[in-house]
Amino acid sequence: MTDVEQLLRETLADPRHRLDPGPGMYDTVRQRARQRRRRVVQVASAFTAVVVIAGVGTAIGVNSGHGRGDQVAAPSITPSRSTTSSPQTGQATSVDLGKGSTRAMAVTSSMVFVARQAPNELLRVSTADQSVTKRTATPDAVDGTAVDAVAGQVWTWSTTEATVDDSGKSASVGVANSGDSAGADSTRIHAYATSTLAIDGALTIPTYTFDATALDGQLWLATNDGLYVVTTAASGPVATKVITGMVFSVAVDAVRHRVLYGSAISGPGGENSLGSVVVHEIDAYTRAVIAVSTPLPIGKESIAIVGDQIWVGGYGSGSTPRLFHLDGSSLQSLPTEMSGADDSLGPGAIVWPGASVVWVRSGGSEGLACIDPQSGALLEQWPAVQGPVASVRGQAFAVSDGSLDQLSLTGGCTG
Amino acid sequence: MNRADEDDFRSFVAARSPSLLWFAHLLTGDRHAAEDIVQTALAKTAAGWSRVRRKENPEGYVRRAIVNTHLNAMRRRPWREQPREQIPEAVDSRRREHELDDRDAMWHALAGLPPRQRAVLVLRYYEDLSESDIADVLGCSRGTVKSQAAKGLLHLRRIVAKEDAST
Repeated sequence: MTDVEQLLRETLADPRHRLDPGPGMYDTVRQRARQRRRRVVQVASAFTAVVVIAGVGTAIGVNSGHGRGDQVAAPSITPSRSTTSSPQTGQATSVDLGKGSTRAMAVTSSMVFVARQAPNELLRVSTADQSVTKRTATPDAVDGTAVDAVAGQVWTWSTTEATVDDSGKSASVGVANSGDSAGADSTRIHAYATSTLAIDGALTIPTYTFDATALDGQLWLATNDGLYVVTTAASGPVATKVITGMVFSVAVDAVRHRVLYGSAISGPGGENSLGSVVVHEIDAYTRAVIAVSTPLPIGKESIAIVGDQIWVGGYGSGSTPRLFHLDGSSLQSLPTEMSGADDSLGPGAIVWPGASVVWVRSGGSEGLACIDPQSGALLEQWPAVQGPVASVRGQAFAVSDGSLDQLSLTGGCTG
Repeated sequence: MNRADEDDFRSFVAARSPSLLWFAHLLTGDRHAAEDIVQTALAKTAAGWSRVRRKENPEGYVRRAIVNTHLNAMRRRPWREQPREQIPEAVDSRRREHELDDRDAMWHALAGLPPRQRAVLVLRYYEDLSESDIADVLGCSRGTVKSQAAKGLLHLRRIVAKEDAST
């Protein structure tokens, strides 16, 4: 045992940390137990009432020929999506953020950071009452955001992809931003302080970004020219290419400080045929490879890490699976299946991590599902919500048709 | 809860509260938070006490509830380093004072750990649980326990070394 371990043992056993219970300890516990039991009964009663009312409401709606969007609007939150009598079908309500279209968002336990276009803005929204607590203009039309609550940073990126126009000259497409890249792949990155929304730093990398995520003050980017990491130096943000080649997806394991990314293997038909993907796990600091999965028969993959559980979704062909549950240590595929929704995934599946659940969207259409990361059991679903979605425990938000929706977590989904 | 269960639960709370509070204090580093999570964990346990009391180790069950209550609370409120309560004055002997300084430094260093890393170290070095038992309590893999323990110890080692260098 090392000196530190010995000192730790002595510190933990130090009698100065002993606490004596007050004289009313038992009475307080019993009182809290009674309050807890009352709350459980109230919640159960309320839940039963909601199910009954929803059932009656649905029946009336069907009989009178009204669509599912006809609901009463609250002052700042406009109900916009489906409600049915099924306890496993959740409701989404649109958050009123004023003029503009929501492009991306990221969530912490108390704040949602929302990137909007027309006008180009970054908003900080309270999760408690959905009020806008801060608003700042962004230099570009933002395509994605990632928040790092521990580092107090929110990252945004705007990306452009080069293509060749009819005259044979290259041109830039796929963007509504201010056009600082004529005919070249490029991603403009900004770091903002979560407290003030002031810009902490900016840089441009010469590559098109598919996906990005933040960890430990760094931004990891999956791009068409490799896996990049952006770190903040004294002189400002600095980008380093970690892996060469196309990387479509990246995800972080904040507990183990690891980064997972997918690298595509072309199919027998060449670059454009549907091949397979191999998931790699690397250490966020040393960048040493820790594990590599076997090839998964999907393309355009997305990775969700929830605790020790890893799920990979992607597009496939025929009857091959669209969703894979990987072992957290070896990255080998586990036999878990997403119960109750496999058939509805269509050509593919897109996954996002929640705090304690995995979010899965059908790749072919709208329809968002919340699943248990261990068992794959379907906990709750939102048939009319698109995503992307982000959640913390008890709170979930999704982007649908340019609006920010708050998802009600009334079924088994905990966020 | 019937009368026998009620009496048994009352005895359990009376006998084990000091030990449970100590354990919670090590997890949270804060006296008030410790009291709160012990009361919450016991209130949760009360509902199923007739079942819990028949378990081989009811106290282990309550400790697990304490850890989970604490980690869930910290998940709802993201972790930040927080000021801790004052450490009592040291005693007179010079050697004893030095030992207490070391322990105080270690106690403050523990306050800088993320809740899950701290929980792993408390379960390992205070409760003497094995890696697989800790993994069971925290609902994670043995590998995660190992890496969390290693990271936590590394952090403590750095802080303690820094303290040594500055004195």
